[in-house]
Amino acid sequence: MKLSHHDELLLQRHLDGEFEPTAAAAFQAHLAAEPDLAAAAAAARGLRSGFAAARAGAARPSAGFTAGVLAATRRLPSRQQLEQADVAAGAVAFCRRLLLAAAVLAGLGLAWQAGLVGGAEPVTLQAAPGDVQRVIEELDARLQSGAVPPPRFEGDRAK
Amino acid sequence: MLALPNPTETPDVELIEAILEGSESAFATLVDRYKDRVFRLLGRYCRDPVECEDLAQDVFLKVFRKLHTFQHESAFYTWLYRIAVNAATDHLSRASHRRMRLVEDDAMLDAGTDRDDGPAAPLLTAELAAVTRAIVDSLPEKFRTILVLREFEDLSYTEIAQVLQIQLGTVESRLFRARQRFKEALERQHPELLPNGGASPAPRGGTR
Repeated sequence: MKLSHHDELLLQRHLDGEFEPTAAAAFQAHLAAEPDLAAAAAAARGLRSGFAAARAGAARPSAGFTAGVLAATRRLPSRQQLEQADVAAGAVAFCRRLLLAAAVLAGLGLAWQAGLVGGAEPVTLQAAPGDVQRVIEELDARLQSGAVPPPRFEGDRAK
Repeated sequence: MLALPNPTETPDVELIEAILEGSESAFATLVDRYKDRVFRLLGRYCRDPVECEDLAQDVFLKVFRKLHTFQHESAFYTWLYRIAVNAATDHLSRASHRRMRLVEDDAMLDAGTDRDDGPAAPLLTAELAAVTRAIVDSLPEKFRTILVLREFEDLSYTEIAQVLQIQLGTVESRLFRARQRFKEALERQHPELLPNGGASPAPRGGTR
């Protein structure tokens, strides 16, 4: 029977020793009661034996390693200079980020102004037909009463 | 300059303070304390001991240069491991054009093998070790690194999360996927080395 992904993760956690003692004991009991889980645990332990074998033979530093590192540190600037260099590098990085952000914002602003970004919908003012009719009637009434002089056209000036 | 009464037993925090105040002997103690671990870690990425030594020196120099930025939010060695892992992965990407490390001619492989598992065991153990290393080396960097930290360096999930600056859940799932990839490669390349001899494969996971 195939184990669920959840069971496999629990098994991994158990084999890695990541459970608290009580949870580990509970899982151990679960393991004893589930042959499929126990078989998966045995297989996983077998795979791990390869890593245990490969642990041996790790690289080791030469006898003069520490002396070599100390000699190299003596060639470095003083601690104060290192810290100042770090602060300066941080300031430069901050300024660079600031300039980049400003450039992006300026670019977006220009693009917006040129109508390339946003504004795809034309800006129009809309009025209800009833309101338009009412304003026209008011203007007609004012024209007829003489409150507003009638509009003059090109032909009127020539006369 | 600060003199430490018993440098080998001085906690990391005090050594760091002394180094920041200019103590060279404190830094020597710190290097001596961690050089084996750093070498062991870098040895999983380097082709030869000389290359490994250069890389380790770079790591400790970077530690020295950046020590004032260490915030004590995690243990010093997880901060050190982070620097070492970054140096190792940078090294891998720089060396990617060069030939892959060959396990068979690796001089480091034989050093320190003082196991005694019976008369027939050493050959199988050596072969298993060589195959394991070769497969780990062939995995994508993120799977390789998490396996190195867990299987070779024995770090806990929390420590791995601190070194790689990822969530605990990510550690768990990445480790699971790395082991799946490892097992698949072993099944493909050396089924005879599987715990059950490749007769009936162990259950497979669902996350690919």
